[in-house]
Amino acid sequence: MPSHVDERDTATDQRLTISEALLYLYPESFRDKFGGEIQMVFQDAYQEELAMRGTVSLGFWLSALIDLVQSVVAQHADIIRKQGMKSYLQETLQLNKFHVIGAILLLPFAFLLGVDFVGRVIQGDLLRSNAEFAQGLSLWIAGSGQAPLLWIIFVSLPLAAVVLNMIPVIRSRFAPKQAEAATKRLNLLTVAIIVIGLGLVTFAFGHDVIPCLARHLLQNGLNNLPNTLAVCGNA
Amino acid sequence: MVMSKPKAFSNSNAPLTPPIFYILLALASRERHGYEIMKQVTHDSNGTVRLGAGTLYGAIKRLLEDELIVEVDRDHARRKYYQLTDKGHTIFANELQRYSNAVELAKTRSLLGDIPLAEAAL
Repeated sequence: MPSHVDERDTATDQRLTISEALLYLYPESFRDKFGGEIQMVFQDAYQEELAMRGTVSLGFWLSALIDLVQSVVAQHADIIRKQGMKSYLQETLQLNKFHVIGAILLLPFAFLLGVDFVGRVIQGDLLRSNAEFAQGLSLWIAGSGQAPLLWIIFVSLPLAAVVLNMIPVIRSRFAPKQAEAATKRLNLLTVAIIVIGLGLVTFAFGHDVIPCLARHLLQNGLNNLPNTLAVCGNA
Repeated sequence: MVMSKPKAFSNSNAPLTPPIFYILLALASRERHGYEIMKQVTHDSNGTVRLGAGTLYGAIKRLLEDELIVEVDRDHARRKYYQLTDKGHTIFANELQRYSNAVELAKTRSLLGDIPLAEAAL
């Protein structure tokens, strides 16, 4: 068993803070009973990976993410199975009315932009006409003719805001202040990653590159990745 | 709508799932904390069953609810330790007996003779 390292570097601290914040995706009852234990086990696995390889591999984070998604869904499903959907929703949605209202207001925009995105990926006639409508609407609201950066920012902000707002909906209103702060940092990080990432990609390759990458990755997986990057880089 | 609760281990004749089986196997010899269980499961299953922290504690929660394991008080211990209950030992013994019966049956039908164990394990 690896010993706990007292003098962790800043990057390690930040990653473990993020993993701690992600515990708030679990139902409150599960998190209260096992959250601390889960965090300790994750820290042990992280430190062992670091000691064995000298770095923490992408595979480690991928398997941790898959485990998180599977177990979060399983635990929420378990609550729904035991308490019923109505009780579950009442308990969840009363947590923070401001965040719920914000998320509801932003969801229609996210839906329109989602239709736009899917339309570009699938290129179906029906979806394409909806996509043109959604893009036209978004461009009209953004007040921009064809500026891809403005369009991307317009895509990014509502999506980021929805992510930002949905996390507090899931977590408990009785969250300890320290963990509350960690969750807020995670939200800000989410916003920054989405906005800056999409903005940079758009600056570099134009606003068609992300749907192009999604289409090729859906069709070919990771096969012939260099060709996919070359094609979409020139799209 | 309230969905039906899954059958408790003690009320079901169905075999245990691999993660539950290996967790009980890890706890059959002695009490362990979460990370020890995770490592032991990976070791005992030759790496075929790897439990993430969330999945592990989801399974532990269910085993606690069904009273197959209990938390053990340890003075000054920072972690929670778990051990099998009598009911857990019984369920686990029944599962081992099921495996043993299957192996005996395979032997009587000469199904194991021609297959090297290492290959059979694959």
